[in-house]
Amino acid sequence: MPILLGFSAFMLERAFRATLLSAEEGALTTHTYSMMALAEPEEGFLLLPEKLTDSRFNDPDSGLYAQVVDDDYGPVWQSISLQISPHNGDIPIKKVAPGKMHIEEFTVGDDRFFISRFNTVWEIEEQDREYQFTVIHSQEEYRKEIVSYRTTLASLLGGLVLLLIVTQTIIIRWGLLPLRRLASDIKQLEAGDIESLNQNYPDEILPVTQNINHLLESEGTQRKRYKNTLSDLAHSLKTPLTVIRSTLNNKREAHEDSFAVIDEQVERMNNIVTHQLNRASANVTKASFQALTPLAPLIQRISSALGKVYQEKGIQCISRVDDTAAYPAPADDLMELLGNLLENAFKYGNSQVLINASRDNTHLHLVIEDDGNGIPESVRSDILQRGARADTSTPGQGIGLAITTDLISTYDGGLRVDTSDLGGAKFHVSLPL
Amino acid sequence: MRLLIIEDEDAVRQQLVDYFTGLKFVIDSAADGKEGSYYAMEFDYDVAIIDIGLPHKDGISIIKELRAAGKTYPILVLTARGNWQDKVNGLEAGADDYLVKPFHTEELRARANALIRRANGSASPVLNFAPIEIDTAAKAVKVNAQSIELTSYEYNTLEYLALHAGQAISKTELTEHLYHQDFERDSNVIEVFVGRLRKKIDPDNNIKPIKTVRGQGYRFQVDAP
Repeated sequence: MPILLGFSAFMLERAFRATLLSAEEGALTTHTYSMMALAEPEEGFLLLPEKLTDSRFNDPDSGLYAQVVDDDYGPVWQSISLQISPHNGDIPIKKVAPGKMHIEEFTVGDDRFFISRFNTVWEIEEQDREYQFTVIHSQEEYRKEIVSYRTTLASLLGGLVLLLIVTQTIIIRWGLLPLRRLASDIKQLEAGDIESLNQNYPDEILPVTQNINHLLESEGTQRKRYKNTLSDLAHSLKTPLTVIRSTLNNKREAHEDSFAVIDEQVERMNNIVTHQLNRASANVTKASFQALTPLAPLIQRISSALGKVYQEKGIQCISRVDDTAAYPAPADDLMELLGNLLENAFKYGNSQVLINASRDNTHLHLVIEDDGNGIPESVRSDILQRGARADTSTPGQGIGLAITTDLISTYDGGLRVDTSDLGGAKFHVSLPL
Repeated sequence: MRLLIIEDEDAVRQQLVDYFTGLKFVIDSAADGKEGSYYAMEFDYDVAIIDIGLPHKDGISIIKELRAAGKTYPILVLTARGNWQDKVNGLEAGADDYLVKPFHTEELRARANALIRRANGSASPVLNFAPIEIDTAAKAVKVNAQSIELTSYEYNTLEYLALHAGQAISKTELTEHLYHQDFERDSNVIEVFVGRLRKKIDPDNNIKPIKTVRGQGYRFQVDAP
């Protein structure tokens, strides 16, 4: 754009210069002709009046001069302006072919001039004499005009550039408006305020938004189908397990010796099913757009539900998790993670459960502690490791913690077991942000 | 004790029915949500065991509905998936406890008994009305530290009355909670049981734990000596 403008400025100036030059040429020609009209041969000479009608020829400051040069005698007539001008005598004499206007420029000191020469042959007293009509015009005006033209041109073009920049900016902004909207919509999508992008986008972007919607939709259905399939699978496997277990239980006396073995195997199978189900339905593949899930309401729901189950213990559950604590994971994942830890706290705590959340630059930290007997240091690592090998865990021990450990590792987080100041176990979960 | 079981898996339901019948529970069972909801709304139970995933109407809806209708009896939900969403939803809807499948029937029984006790304001499995001591877990009764042999019907009658100590329990309520529908509903039978129970617990007739409330039924109450 600036190149184009620069080029057009250059071209415009050239055109203007050409116009000025041709106007100058016209003026010089006119002066020459009017001089020739006034010239009259007399007494073997060509005579012109001392004063010409154009007053500029009589004023030395006007910058317009004229002279008639005889080929043999040199200047035979000079305008008043030239006679008293300091430039008199500086005018270069040059012979040219007759009958044709010759225009050129010359310089005297700092002053520049146009000069036109026109040679003509006069028959004076039956003798052909050649005279040169010369008109000299200072370039001062011409230069001034060019400068003023340049100034005007520059300011006009400058204005134009400014206008173009402004309109271009506006056009670009306007053109990018749908993209901005798309960006803000995607933000909303991430925040979970909307579930799909709306369709009133311009035709150019519509395919993109439609594809995003398709993607979201198909991802959603796939996710759902996946979960449903697994849920069905788990359900269908758990029923026979339940039946086996109760049959075994009811006929315990009949096969006392095999009871323990079968029950253990049932437990193992159950743990495998539960473990795999939770692993799979935990959103292992992170969703494309994951909204933040606030923690406080989840903790509130789970702890009040657990308060009901462990009603007799009268556990005092204090959550110091404020409303701003949130994590970009689906609510059901977080519920699973928190549920198992909180259940342990309620189960093993005597009267108090404490929940804390904090965050630093890189992690969200969740601390859940109770005032129970705590977990002996020797088994702490076992508890955490079982997550990786739930299928070989000893029967009778719930796999809640294993599920939690699995979930935490899905999110690349960490779980640490400590002793609480309350005396019981202290589980410290850190999840990367 | 009157128990409602809503479970759509025939095998599981049948086993539970058999198991609790063996424990002399009075049982209503339903295989789907609609039927179960009917029972749940129509009768009063000592405890209800409701599966979350049911055809026609899911367990959570049934629980919400019966709680909204003012039914306060304890409810234990069964969940196959065992995820916290199910557990919390169940408890929030009004259930009192949950159990994940597959469970040990003994654990279910312990949980159900705990809920019954809790509903009647007792946290401990042992009901102590000195000198009478009723161990609801072992289903054993002691008077003055002496074990008393009771038939299951006698025991159940005593336990029901003791769990509702201080309240007058009508013969009809006793019949409903202790005997199957098809049992002959003759109030004389109850009178016979109560009579035998009184003789066994209190042969000398000086504790008088089971009072007859004229026109209302019986009330379990042990007066301070």
